[in-house]
Parts: sequence; C-alpha cells; structure tokens
Amino acid sequence: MRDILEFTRITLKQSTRLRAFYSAFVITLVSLIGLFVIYSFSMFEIPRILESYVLSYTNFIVLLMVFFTLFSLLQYDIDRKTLQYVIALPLRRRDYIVGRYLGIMCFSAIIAYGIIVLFYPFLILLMKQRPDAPFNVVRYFTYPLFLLAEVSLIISFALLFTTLSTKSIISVISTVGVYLIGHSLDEVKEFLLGGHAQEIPLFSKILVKGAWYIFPNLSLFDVKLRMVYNLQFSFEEALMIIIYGIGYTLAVLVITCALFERKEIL
Amino acid sequence: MRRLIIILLSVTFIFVINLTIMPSLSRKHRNLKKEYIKLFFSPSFEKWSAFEWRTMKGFFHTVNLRVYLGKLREETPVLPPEAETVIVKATEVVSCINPYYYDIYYIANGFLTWDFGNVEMANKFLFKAIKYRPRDWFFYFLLGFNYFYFLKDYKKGGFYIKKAAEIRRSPFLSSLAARLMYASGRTEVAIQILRSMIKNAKEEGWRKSLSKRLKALERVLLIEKAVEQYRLKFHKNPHDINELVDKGLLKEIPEDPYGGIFYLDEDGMVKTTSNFTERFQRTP
Repeated sequence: MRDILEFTRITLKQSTRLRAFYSAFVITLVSLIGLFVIYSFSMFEIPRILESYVLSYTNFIVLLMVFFTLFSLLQYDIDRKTLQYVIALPLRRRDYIVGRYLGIMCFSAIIAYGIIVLFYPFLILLMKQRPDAPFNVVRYFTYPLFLLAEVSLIISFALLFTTLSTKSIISVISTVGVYLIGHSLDEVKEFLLGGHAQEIPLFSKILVKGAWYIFPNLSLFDVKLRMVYNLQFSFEEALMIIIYGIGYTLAVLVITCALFERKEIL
Repeated sequence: MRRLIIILLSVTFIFVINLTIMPSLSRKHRNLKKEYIKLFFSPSFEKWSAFEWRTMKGFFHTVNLRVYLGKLREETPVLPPEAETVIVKATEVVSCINPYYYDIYYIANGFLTWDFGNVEMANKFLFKAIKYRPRDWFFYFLLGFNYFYFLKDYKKGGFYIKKAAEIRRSPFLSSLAARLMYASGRTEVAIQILRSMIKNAKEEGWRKSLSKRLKALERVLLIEKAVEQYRLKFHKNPHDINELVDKGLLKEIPEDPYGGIFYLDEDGMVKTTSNFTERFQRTP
C-alpha cells in the first residue's frame, strides 16, 4: 500500500511539474470571461445556458488536462525507458499501475472540483440577474462524479495501452480511439437500427455489435442535459452509471496489471 | 540589446499586419461566414460530432443563426427565401443536438410565421418543443396563437391556449382561450404577443422589424374599434374606411408603416394593401 501511495504522490508531483494545475487555473480564469459573454448572448433560460457552459467547460478542460498529463507521463515512461527501470525494481509491478491510476485520478478530481467551485459564485451572481429557469445546486456539484467515472475509464485504457506498446504515440492514438468509439457507439447503433438499417451491409452490423459489447459506452457518462434541464434521473440510475464506470475500470486495471506482471525487460 | 530589438521588431510587425492585411481578410471571412451557415450536415451527424458538448454546440449554432438573420435584416427589410431554408435546417439540427433548447424554437417560430408565412413548419417545431418540454406553457401558447391568428383555426387555437392557461394557471390566458373559442380579439392578442417578443428580442434589426409590425397592428386596432362603434351606432358595416372619418369616429385614416393603404373588406374587416410586408402591394 505504501508503494502505491508513493507512486500516487510521484504522479501528482510530476503533474505539478508539468504545470498542469497552473495551466488549468490560468485557462479557467480566462474562460470566466466567457461566462459573461454567454450571459449577454442568451435570450432565455440564462441559468441553464450558464450551467451548461460551466459543465461543458469542466468536461473539456478535465479531458484536455488528463490527455495532456497522461501522454506526457506515458512518453516519459515509455520513450525514456522509465518503465523498464520500474520493472527492474524490487517492487510489486501492479503497485506502479495502481499508483499511476490513483495519481491521475486525484489530479482530475482536483481540477474538476476546482473549476466547479471557482465558477460557482459567478454563476450565482449572473443567475440572480435573470432567474428565468431553475438551478439545482445538488446536481451541479454531482456532475463531476460522472465526469470522473469517464476519466477513470480513459486512464485505465491509457495504462493498458502503455503496457502493450513500445511507442508512446501508439498508446496516445489508441486511447483517443477508445474515447471516440466510446462516444460514437450509441449514435452508430441508433443509426443502424433506424431507417438506414436495410442499406447497411451485414458485416458492418456485426462489427458495430461486436464493438458495442467490447468498448465502454462513454456517452452514458454525459449527463449534462439531465443535470441542466432537471430531467428525470433516479438515484438508482445514477448509481448504476457510476458502478458501470468503476466495474469496467477495475476489469481493465486487472488486465493491465496481469499483462504488466508478465512484461519482459527489453 | 539585440534580443530586445528583435522582440520590438516582431511586435511592430504584428501590429503592421493587423493594421494592413487583417481587416480585408476579416471582411472576406465574414462574407464567407454567411455561406458557412448554409452548410449544415445531417442532424444525426451534427449530433454525433458534438460528442460531449451538445448543449454548447446547439447554443453556438443558434447564436450563428441569430447573427446571420440580424445581418440580413440590416441589409434588406425583406428576408430572401434562402433564409427560410437556413432557419429550417438550423432548427432541425439544433433541435436534434439539444431538443430541450428553448431559444431555437422561439426564433424559428418568430421568423417562419411572421416573415415567411410557413406556419406548418413552425408548428412542426413547436410540436417537437412540446414533446420534449410538455410542462412549458409558452410553446402551447405560441401554437395556439399560430392556429388562430395565421391559420384561422379558432377551435385548435383555443384548445392550445387553454392548455397553456392550465399549465401557467393564468386568468389572462384562460379568458383569452375563451374569447378565442368565439373567434374574437385577434389583433389585441397579436399586439400582446408582439410586445412580449420585442421585450425579448436582442438584435436591433429584429426588434425594429417587430416594432414596425406592432405599430401597424396598433393602427389596425384603432380602426377596428372605430368600426365596432360604427356598427353599434348604425347597425351595419361602414361602406368604406372614409365613412369612419366622416362620422367622426376616426380623426384621420392612420398611415400603414409598411407603405400600404388601410381599407375595409365587404365584411368590415380592416385590411391593408401592403399585407404587412414590404414584399408586395395589393389593390384594395
């Protein structure tokens, strides 16, 4: 456990050294202006528009920072052969994977909640000017949990690809690929089952169905519309989404650890 | 020192190109933007390509549409037919990306009905709005208004305004719905709606256009009231509009802001040769 925490600490320290927190903070300060611009551009339901701006921005910046940090660390680990050095150390290899995972998760959580909290007073201030739609504080502060569940899956896949590949660029492309596929699955399936079903070749249908059962469905974690428009969202459903994210992440991490244990020193 | 000179020269260079080349490029880009707005992909592709940022993509498409329509309105008082296609396409796309987005339905309804007379399409979008936001009284209200004012279907108009009144629990809407059932009060209601639209319109061009329409309808209402007084007094319809002035019920015949001439049809209804557009002039 001590080794895991040590790897977590090192990962957080490396993220700080990459100036990721600093960049996120500066970009957030600049994007606060966007809140006022959007306020002046909106016609109706200002609280909803502003809230969706904040949630979308949080989503964007957390993903951006996670990808940036992940790939900088992966490049460091793979290309500079740090990974080989770790393998050679008298440590349990899985501690490295779990430590790295927890480190980037902590980093994402700090950024996500940091942004949400930083925007909150400005959001309230502007909403008071034109309170023409309801604003649910609980839902606003719950949103990052779903974002973190999604990020958790992305990190686990990035670590899996790091274990499998010898070049950082391959892990980068593969992780971005999983992200794109994960967000397209729902739409593509809807398209296949819709009016165009007759024109689609059987092979493509099988391919999409196969992908549907293998890849994570990341669009499940995009709950912004439900949060912003106060749509029906039961506690059970929310819990199931989080459990799905944690379960999938655990499975990928177990595979990653198993593969990493058998990784040869090159 | 040498480094400082290089930095100063670079900064000067940036200022020079921003002053010389950039403005003309920007103008060209702005003109091209008018063309970009017509280039929507299919709604499902637009939805897919928005990934996790559907709400914001819907918002930016709507802002682009407003800017496009506002600029067109500044250039010409009559919107070209291609603007109708852009509005329909944009509304289809945005309502697919984020079917809960209020503004897009509001804008589409405002332009499609008043500027293009495409009430069927406007109603189609309103039905979609109601499907996703069944507790929102305003869409029922707009639908009811479209039915009774544009399509002259008082029964359906009354039905939807009654629905709006039930959700809103508004005595005004309830009485309006009742009045509509008897097919009366069209101009007054139109004036109320236009006033609320002017209050919410942010683009100067659109506000001006709505204000002009409001002015025209207020004048129609003035004549209608005089006709009503004439009927009460003489138990018949006035022969023509000048009779209202002759009998002292109107000081003078008001001017149509659209450049037309007000007249009364055989049923005593107030009409205008402009038909409230700058598009064409009708003979009385």
